[in-house]
Amino acid sequence: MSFNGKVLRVNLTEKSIKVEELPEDAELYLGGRGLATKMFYDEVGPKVDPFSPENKLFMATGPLTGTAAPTGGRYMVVTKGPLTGTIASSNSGGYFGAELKFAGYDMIIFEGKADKPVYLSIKDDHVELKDASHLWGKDVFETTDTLLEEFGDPKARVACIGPAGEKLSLMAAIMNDKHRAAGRTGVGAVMGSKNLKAVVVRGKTRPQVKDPAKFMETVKEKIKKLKENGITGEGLPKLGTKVLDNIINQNGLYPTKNFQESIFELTDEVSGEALVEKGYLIKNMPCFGCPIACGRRVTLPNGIETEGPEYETGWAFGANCGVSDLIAITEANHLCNQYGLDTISTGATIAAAMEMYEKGLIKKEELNNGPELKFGNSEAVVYYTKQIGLREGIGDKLADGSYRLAESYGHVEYSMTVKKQEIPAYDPRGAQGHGLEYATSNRGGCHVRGYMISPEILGAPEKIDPQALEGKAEWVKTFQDLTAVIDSAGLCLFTSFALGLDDYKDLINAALGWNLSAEETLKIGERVWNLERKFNLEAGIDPSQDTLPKRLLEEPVKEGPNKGQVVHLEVLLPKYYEVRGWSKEGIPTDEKLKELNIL
Amino acid sequence: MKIEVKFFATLRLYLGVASINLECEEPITVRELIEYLVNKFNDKKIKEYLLEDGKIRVGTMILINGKNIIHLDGLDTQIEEGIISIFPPAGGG
Repeated sequence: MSFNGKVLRVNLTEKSIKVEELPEDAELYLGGRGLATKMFYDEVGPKVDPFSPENKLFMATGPLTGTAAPTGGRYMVVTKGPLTGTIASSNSGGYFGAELKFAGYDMIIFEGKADKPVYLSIKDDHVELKDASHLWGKDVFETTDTLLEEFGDPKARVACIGPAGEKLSLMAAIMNDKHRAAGRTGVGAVMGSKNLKAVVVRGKTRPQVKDPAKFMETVKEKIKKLKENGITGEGLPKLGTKVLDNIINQNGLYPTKNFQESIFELTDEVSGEALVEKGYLIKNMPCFGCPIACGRRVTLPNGIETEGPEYETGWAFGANCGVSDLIAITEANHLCNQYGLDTISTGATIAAAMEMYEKGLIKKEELNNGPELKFGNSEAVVYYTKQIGLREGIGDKLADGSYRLAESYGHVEYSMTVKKQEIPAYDPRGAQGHGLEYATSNRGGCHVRGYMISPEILGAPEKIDPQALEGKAEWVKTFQDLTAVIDSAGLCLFTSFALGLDDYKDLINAALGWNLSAEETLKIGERVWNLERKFNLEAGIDPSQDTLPKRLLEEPVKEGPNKGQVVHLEVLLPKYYEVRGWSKEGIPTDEKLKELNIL
Repeated sequence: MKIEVKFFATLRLYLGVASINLECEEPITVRELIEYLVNKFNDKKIKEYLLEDGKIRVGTMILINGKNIIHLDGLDTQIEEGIISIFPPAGGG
């Protein structure tokens, strides 16, 4: 119930399409991120080369995707990530995930490699692979428009890659509904490596829940909580995610100029408030079934109409590059959506390049007469984003992310990455638990695997001291496990500002007719987390990589409320391993894996 | 002593003011500052934005030079000099 019980398996080498039953593992791994990871682990394993035909790419919904559950529009891309070499699970909203569910499928598994560009067309049970030669080279917007026209139904939904994915940029995203991104870990490049340009889907059947009356009653109760909450009911709808610019800056953990500083003096120029005050914001853009509607539609004075920028994006091209030009930031965001790039990694890679240029490592002649890679140069962020998207000029080097860039100059210390993925818009020297979360995230540097900013800075569900070390390992574990539940259910993480474990348990039980306790629900998340960890260890990502860039461990913050602070990973990490029930070396024990039914 | 009070997020949009400056002869508490703001703007809604049952509303953030008053003395924290940043509940990511 609320699962369709069907998996669409598409072999691109053989051009075959099969419909299979959803495995019974759903009871242990729920759906979305969890179930797809379990299936990926069993079918493919950790040793696969991300760009080989043997790698597979899952597009997986959760049991609540496409239902009336608030924010039930999420789907997860699971594969082995080329940027990190870890299990990659990249989540996206919009409408594509729900539409896939309406077409009758819980997930699609892509296998093999097409001999020429193809796209998958799904109209309920009519599924076919089609030639995409005419789409290859086209950007995300052109591809989406062309496919919708060819499909003949403007209500269809498209997920696709742009030139960045085709050219195997390790920062390539899969874009759906034009502006929504399964952005992180380079999943777009896996699609590109398979010559898979797009998926277009239209379905007409809403998923059934076990007890519709009870489910709707539960849904109404949760929507009420979301509406009454200060963050999800007012802050996010009115100002979007960019409400965070000033919050994080005033709290002294707004990474500036590639994390060299932690306060950006020009934040007021680029903040969420500025987006409204300057009149750029036109309207909110909700995803499927979302009562929050944090997405933004903006029109710039130069005529560009687009969506965003979100907080992370605004920071990546803004403060992190020393740029205070909101128009340039929004343009760079637009280009990322157009070419299919992860905005966080793209902006952070340009920031690393700026530091390397200013320090004399990248030479002027390498820029081929392009704008100088200096902090504060707004022209540069737009120019080099385009170069990255098309792999032109020095963009070819930048397209593989800051780690490989810095490594090629013999200076990995300028790459602000964990497990080769760029860390986002919070300086962990100002939030110790968030530092632990970055270091231990199963998909490399990431803020949405256990968003410790919520309790450490925002005060949800309660305010804890950001510099305290005690208790942080426990908080991080709980947040990571709970997030894995939310991702596996098919809901948006933003609901967690207002909803707690019991709320998610209620929604899952009401939809599926299950009778999970809160403890059992969280156990699903812990199971997912441990399986991901096991995958990564077997893929060769050893615990020595549970660390942070040297700068964050050794260089104290220069000014502001966190002056003098570094991240105390030497205290946090051993405790975290202990709380997780792992060995002192960070390896899940057989006992723990048996307890979680992984062994 | 000079104090700059900065308003953010929906509170800034509501008041239509980004910041105000004030000078005090003696330190004041955060509670007194909120009363001052209610009088200055002649608007009791400011209190509703920031307080619930006389306590700081969950998610409301009041910073004194970047330090959250929750980790100081709460509403009784003395303000001597510097920047006071006030945020109603807000989040993102």
